[in-house]
Amino acid sequence: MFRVRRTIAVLGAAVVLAAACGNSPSGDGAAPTPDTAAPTTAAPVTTAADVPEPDAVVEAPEPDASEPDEPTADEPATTEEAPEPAADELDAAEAPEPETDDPAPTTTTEPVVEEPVDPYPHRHDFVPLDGVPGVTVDEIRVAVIGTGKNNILGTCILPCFHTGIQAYFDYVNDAGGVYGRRLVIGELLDDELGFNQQRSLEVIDGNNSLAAFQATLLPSGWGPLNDAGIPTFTWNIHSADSVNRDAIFGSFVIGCAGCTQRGLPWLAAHAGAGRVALLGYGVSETSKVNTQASADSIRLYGADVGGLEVAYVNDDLAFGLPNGIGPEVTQMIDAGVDFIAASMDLNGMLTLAQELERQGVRDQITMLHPNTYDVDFVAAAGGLLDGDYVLVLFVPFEYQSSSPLRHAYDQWVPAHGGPTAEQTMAGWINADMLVTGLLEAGPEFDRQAIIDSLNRITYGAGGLINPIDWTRQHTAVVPGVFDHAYAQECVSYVRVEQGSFVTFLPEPWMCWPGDTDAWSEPTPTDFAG
Amino acid sequence: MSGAGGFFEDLFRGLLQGTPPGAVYALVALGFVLTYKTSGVFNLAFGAQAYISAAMYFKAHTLWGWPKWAALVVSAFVLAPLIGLVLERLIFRHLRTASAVSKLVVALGLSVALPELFNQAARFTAVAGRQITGIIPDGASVFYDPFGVYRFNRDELAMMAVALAATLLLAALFRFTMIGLAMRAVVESPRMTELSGINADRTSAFAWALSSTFAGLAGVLIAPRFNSLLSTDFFTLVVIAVAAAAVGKLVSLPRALLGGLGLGWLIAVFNTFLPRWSGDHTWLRPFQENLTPSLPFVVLFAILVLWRAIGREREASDPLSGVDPPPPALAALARHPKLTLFTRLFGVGFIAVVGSVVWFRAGVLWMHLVTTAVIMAVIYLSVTVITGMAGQISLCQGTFAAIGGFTIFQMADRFNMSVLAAALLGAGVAAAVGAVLSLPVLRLGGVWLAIATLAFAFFFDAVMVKFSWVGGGTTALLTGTRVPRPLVGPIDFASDRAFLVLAVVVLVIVSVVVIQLREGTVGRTLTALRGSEVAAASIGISAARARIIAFAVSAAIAGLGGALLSMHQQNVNYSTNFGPVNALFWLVIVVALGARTVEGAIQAGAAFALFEPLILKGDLLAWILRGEDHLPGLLPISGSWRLVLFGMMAIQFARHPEGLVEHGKRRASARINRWLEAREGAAP
Amino acid sequence: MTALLAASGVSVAFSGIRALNDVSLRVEAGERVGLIGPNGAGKTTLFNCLLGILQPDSGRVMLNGVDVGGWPVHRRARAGMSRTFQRVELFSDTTVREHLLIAERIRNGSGAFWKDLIGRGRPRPEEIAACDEVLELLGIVELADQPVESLSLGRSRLVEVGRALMTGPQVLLLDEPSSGLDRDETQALAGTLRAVQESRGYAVLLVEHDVSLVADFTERAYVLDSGSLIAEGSTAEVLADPAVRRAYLGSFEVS
Repeated sequence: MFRVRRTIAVLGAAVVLAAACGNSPSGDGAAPTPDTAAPTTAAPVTTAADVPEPDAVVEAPEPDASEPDEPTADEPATTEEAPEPAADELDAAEAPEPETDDPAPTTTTEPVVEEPVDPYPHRHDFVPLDGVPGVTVDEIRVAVIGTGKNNILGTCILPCFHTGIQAYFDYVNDAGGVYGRRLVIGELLDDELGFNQQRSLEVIDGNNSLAAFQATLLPSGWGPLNDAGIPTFTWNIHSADSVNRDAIFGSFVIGCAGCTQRGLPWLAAHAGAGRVALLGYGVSETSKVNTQASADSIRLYGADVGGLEVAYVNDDLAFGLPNGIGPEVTQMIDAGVDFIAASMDLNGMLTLAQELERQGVRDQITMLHPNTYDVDFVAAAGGLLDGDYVLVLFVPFEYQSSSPLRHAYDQWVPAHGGPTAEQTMAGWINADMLVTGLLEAGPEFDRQAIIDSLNRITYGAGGLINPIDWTRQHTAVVPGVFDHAYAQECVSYVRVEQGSFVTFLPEPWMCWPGDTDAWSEPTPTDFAG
Repeated sequence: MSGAGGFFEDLFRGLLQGTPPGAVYALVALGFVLTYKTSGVFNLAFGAQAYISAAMYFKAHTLWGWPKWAALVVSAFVLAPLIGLVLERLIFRHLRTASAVSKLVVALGLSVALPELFNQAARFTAVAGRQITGIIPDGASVFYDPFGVYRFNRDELAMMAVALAATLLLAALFRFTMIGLAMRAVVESPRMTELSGINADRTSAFAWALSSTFAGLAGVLIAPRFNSLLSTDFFTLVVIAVAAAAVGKLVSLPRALLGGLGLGWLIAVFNTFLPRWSGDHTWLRPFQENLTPSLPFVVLFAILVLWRAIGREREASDPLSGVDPPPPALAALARHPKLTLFTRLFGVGFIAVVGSVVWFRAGVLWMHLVTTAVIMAVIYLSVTVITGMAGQISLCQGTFAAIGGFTIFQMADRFNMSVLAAALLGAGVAAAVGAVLSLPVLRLGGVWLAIATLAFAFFFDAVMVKFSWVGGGTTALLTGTRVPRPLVGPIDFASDRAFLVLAVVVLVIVSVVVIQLREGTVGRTLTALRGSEVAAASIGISAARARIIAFAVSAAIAGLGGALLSMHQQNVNYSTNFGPVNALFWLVIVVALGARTVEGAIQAGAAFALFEPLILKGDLLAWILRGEDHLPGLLPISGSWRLVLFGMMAIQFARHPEGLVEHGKRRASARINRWLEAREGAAP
Repeated sequence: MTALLAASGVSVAFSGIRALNDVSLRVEAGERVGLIGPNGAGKTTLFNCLLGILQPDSGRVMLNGVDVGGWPVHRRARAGMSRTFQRVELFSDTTVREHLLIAERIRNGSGAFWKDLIGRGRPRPEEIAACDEVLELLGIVELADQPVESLSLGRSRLVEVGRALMTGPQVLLLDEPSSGLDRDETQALAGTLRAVQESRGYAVLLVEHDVSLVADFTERAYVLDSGSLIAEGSTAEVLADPAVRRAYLGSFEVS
């Protein structure tokens, strides 16, 4: 029932992949992508209006592409102004209010003219809904499922994820909720590692949640949730279980195995490295494929970034390093390695750092951590990880982001005693994605409308993530084909200094064009504008 | 430090690098041997005991800020022996003359229940991503370099010193002291010991306190080697350390020490040279890829299979064991015909009622749970065959089930084969693997067979699953191991109801097969072998042939069940369903409820899938009380108590080796029999 | 002419110590032969060599003129060598009749697994009748449905004999059948054994400590001492042999 080595390895590997797979936009998506950051115009209009006519939207990718951050970037801003009216709205909602039957057409035309207007003017419109699961006159209820007990990684998964969602819900509820209703976590279910499918079926069977949130180590319930048509928002470390499932969304997408990436060689060169080692656990093919893909990336772009070489590859390590990693470190030293990229969980990374220290080379070898963005962890390591780099899947907390969503995060999460951990941010972004879906779907929403409307847009979490084009990115990416990849391949890193994280990039993201894997200098990018 | 040195320098460095992990294995192996020598228990719960002390130390020192010595005293010298004494008093005292296999099952149950009980009681949650502080000041940060080749920190030196000292002291204890001799005597023959005036109870209490203290000390010493504090890590450590203990045939302390160190050395030397050589010789590459993550399990398996000195030992080594009262006969042996009729009618009625409630009232969830119960019953029938009928403990049933699941995944994915046909193929493949596996391990009996199969399960987990033709492949990388539901003519089993019917049909067929075998010659043969192997041979029974059949049939049933479970979940979900630890749960749950009968397996399946939602969450009571509002406040009970209850079940098994269900049945049927007979006696 | 069971020149050493030294022995069809000797004489070792439990270092074991040297125990059993045990070996959790049935099913070669599947694995009425016939012969038919755990030692021995008979033996090897029995029980057992042997006509090799049983029951006897044969011949002659008496240090009287 407990114990799952495979997952963890995948977890380590997955995150490397996340960086690896920012490969590219499809033909039609390519052109508009550079604009995505610019908070602009028409997009919200289309979406607000388009509930009845999805086909039109599918045919018109340009407006879609332009809208990604836009709605979300604007939305929190508006909500911040909105607290007082919100309360009014809520009251109004409770009173039997005339149904706004067709608000869409009117709004469609109006906001096109004035830019700073709320893209979702109907956000507080109350429409009585019958038979929409989890929706009552004053509440929208969701279920949160995750791994709490028997978490073999020992890291904060379900509690942190839950905190992020709850904080976001409070933030939105404080501003009057959505469509006159409060967002409520109706069910909080611990899958205890082995019961994800059962818990998911409890949610399906109970039929009392509009949507589901999932942060689990074993995603056996994602399939049933998808098949039941329940929009499901996930900490998406399980690409294989989210791919081809239109109702499964994540705050990042890893849809590629074996793709080369430009981020790793760039970073290694940036760190002044010359000879790179790649390490991975030998328990799953995924982790091996990823380690090899990383090695391929160094080989492919090594010359472009000033002469990087692959000096050592070992993708056969025993999970958890029960035997230590002494011989391997000796071999890396012999091979003259000065940079290590490892697909390992944070316990393994720490063991590796300790062994480097013991063999006296800790300060000569820089490590890239895939999965270690945890403030407490680096603090507890007591300087052992100083000088290392850590991959982050959203705009790191250390950047002063102009994203209103981040501003709200900083306000609301500490109030919940929540740590600024990866899973908390994942919960927060996922909750925002649900609300975006709700707003896109319009006041007469249901589960399918949320799924459909999200699948018509590009979602960017107000600039906190590399925008995901849900019209294309439910599909797996294969090397060399860019139809289903991110519009831009972007990575974000922080550096560890004196036991804490610091920024070193000019902008939160370094991006490359997503429609090619040819080398180019990266563009510093801030999706929050 | 140094560049690529000569062969001998590298070898020497490899040996030094292997010493700290070797010392960890040695400590656990020593504890293992100590427990086995002093209590006769193949104590797979040793890791659980070590974990509790390590966690207690962490809690006291790191979280509460106690001084190290106080934390050490409480965790290793108070809590640990206390646990040992309680275990001895409540459980193992009653098990002194039980078979090694029943002790093993109890230990398995404890290995799950103990950490859970501690975590609940102490509100302890897993720790990860931080160096665990040991008892030595600056243990992790002050290094010594005795040979100028490789540095050891203080924690590691302390561990090595304790392992060495413990070997010497314990060996001296056994050789020179009265209590040491007494402990060994009690294990050899408790009754004989009593006759010679030794207080067996007190001796075995002392033995448990001693070995548990050692477990606690080992736990506190080992913990700093890891950057996490998880009970599962300790369990894996025990499995690895069994290899070291096996080197000493479970009884020699010095050999266990050498075995542990040897394992560490072997792995380190292997990891030193093989990557280098496999760079030059590509044919070595597969060995490196597959052995690196699995070397301990391969070594364990190899020791068990190749080393002739390990093997079948006569179980009842106590010459006075014949004095024990004979076990009661199976309930069915002495049963009133009316009672049989009545129970059959009741069974049919019960199934009809439950069936129609499920059919007409169950939603998605309950449909899923009931189907899971039915399929688990199929898988559990594989345990009925191998353990109930053949008397062998196999801990790799999960692996056989996984083979079934992966077969349908591969066949459907690659050849678009019908999943039902693929399920039969999967059963066949599992049967073949089972038969082949049974060949080398046949010679082993009892606990050794159990350990060999556990090693195989870990090997499959570490190596086989990643092969593209098993659990991997491009498809699995992109979309996981998704499996379709079968489609037979007009019947689409994508419907949950149709699939439940299919599962029930399979369960009925497999049950009939098992009953036919049990009543037929194969079953009789296995009964004979279980009863007395020499006598069975004397009437012309080939033990090897019978066991191969039992293994193959059991594996086939598990494979079929695994295929069915994968279809049910529409995904193989290997880690959730079939990991090595899962099979341990299966075994305990089946033998505790009754491994001899088909009903036992069905009840175990029901318990596995339905106990928690039905009983713990209070759904059944709520249904009876007509509404959740009437539920007493203590419901729903947290799911974590499930594991504790599970441990209790394993302990109950020790008292009623025929299985709880069978035990209840016997008591009830004896009572009703008496009543019926009395009535009949009065009537004429 | 070939003997039913013949051992020739059998030698066994355990870590250098000679347990059997060039021992030869013959049992003819239908014959009752005794094998006696003091403790540690090598009786059990020879017995194990005959049955295939132990491989002799040299020498041959022939059954009906066929060298069965490399055969495992169960194959020799199927070829007609059956046995009982000094320390009773019964199948726990089964009834008396069940013991005989198992042997009967094995003899009929019905072990095939697929036969079980199609329901041909259950005992047929004639097989049950055959078992009951043997139980009748042994005088324990009323115990047929008793679990073996409830039987006395003497009766357990009879169940073992019955089980052995069901294999249709050509030669039955009895390993110290009197051990653990008192004089009356031993005599009763001897009576039954003789009656059954006379009615079934198989040969018997009796390994025994209790010389009176050997004297009572066997026609010929072999005497082992320190791993070597020291006497063979008709039982009466052998028991009168002074060398045999010396080996036993007068521990028995021949009446």
